[in-house]
Amino acid sequence: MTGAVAAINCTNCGAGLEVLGGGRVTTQVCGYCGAALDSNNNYRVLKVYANMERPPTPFRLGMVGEVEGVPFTIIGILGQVERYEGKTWRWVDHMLYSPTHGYAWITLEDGHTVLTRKTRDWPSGSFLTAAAVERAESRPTRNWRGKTYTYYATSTWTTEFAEGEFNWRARVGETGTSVSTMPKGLASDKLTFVQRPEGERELEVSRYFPEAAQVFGAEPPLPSGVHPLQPYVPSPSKGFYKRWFGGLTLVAGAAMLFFFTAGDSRVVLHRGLAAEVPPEFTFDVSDTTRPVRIQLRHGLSQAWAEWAVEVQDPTGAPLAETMRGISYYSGGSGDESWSEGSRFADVTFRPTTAGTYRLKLDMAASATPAQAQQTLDVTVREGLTNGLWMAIVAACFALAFLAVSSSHLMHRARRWSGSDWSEDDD
Amino acid sequence: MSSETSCPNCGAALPDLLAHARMVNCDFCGSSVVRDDDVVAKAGEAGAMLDAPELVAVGVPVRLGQEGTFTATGHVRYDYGRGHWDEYHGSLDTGGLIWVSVDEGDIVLQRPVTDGAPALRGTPRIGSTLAWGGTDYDCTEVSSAKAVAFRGQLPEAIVVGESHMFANFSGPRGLILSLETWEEGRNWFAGVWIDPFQVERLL
Repeated sequence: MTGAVAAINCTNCGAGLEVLGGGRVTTQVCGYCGAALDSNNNYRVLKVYANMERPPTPFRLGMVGEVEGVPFTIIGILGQVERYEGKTWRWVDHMLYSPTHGYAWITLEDGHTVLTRKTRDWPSGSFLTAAAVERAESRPTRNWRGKTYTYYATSTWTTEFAEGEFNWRARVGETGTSVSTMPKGLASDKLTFVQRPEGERELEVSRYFPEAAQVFGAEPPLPSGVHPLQPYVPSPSKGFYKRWFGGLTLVAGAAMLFFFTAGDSRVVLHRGLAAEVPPEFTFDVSDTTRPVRIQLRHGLSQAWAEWAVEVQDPTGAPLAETMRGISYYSGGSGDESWSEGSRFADVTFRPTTAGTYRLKLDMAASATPAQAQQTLDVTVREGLTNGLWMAIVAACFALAFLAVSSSHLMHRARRWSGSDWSEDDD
Repeated sequence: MSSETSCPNCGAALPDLLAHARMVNCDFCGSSVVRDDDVVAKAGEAGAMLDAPELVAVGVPVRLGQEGTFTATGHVRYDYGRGHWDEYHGSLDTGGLIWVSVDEGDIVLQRPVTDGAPALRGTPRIGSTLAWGGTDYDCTEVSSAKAVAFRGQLPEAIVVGESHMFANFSGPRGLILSLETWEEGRNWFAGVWIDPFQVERLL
């Protein structure tokens, strides 16, 4: 419980300091000169931390706010930093005090606020240390109050700023290690195993506390990214967009099928042996607004063939003079099989005028008798429609539908993206 | 010397004494009164109990998490220099007499160890370990405290102004063992920590 002292003068610089904490406070750091004072020994100066850089935070000493109906006062502020492999993370811890409910923390990290309290209700299993995590072959877990907490990350932090009152000998330069665990399912709370350099071990429970700024009367910070403890809150318009993109996907898919199949006026020009292909085909084209496609299907196996294709319009003008190769090989052993090439080839051209067109097919002179004895189907199709663009549109709508529908899964993935456990280690 | 129901100092009527009570304070003159074999005698002053925010109070039932509902009948305040903590004695609705310690959000429910007290060699010190009842405990606090005030009825005599040494040993799942030492002897208590947010006043 707090004593009668409500204010002191810093024994180093003389500045007036409020005494906000309770009887368990051991250290008070002057916010003016950086002197750490011994609360249990007439506030004698323990050490002076000059030129500390104040971390950005909207919370100040003396602010009072209710946490679950209990008034707490901000009595201390710590600037923390973690550096690992060239990266730097910073956050600000604010120590809270209630005469009836003791001490707690508000942590400000990337604009997110988290409430942390110490618990003495330790989970079954040994205290989870960084060394135990290093030795583990699969993600370590601990069971606590009926839930399984899975390893999330190990943090080795250093204090680089201190101001106010603390119930331990807080000092700039202090380091410690925190091993955090979370339930795998919905975001709820985090269980952190904290080890200080002197060996003290504490177990802390944290939960997302976005209303912290509001209840303490501070300027609301601007959160960035997804915090590991941040619950998933679906957008009010999620249902609408899900139905909207789902419907558009169906419409675009139906349109795609229509375009791919509409106007399929396929005409068979030849169905028989390749050796029996006549020297010239004729076929009529009436629709000059759409392309015409001539398709060959040569029933080759373990062989290849080359066809000279020549197309003339009704006026005798050549529209295509080209070669088309067809090859097909396959094999396999046991349960494995493979194939290579295709038995199909086609030539597509845009008709110049309605009327009778001529097609000449000639198999290359090097063709073997066996190739000539395989079947050859020759078909022609006019009025081709192209469903490719509609397929792309349908795919885009489908992606949007999947993105909206799986937003909770993406949120969960982002929550866990900061974990330092590689799944390769499992 | 006075009657069983009157204050030996001022003669004012004392409250009805509970069966387990060995000490009671006189609300009228502030004396502490000790009962010994149905005889009451003044043992000193009950001390000044300054107002402070309290989760637990004498006569007010409070829910202690899953442990049950506790009603305090006695209250002792100990001073440790910069502050104080409170010890409440009373009964649980599930049966039995217990102590409840309240210190800045640290709340502990404890019962006296009457059989098979822990075997402690030497003087307790922070970091030393102790095995009791199949559980290992670590010593987390050793200090002394002075009783500064009491109210209500207590199962033992407390001398206001007298100091004693205490040591706390923490175990898994919130278990705790406490040792209190006087010149005349020592008492062990076994209990469990209770989350202050699970303490609820019912009145």
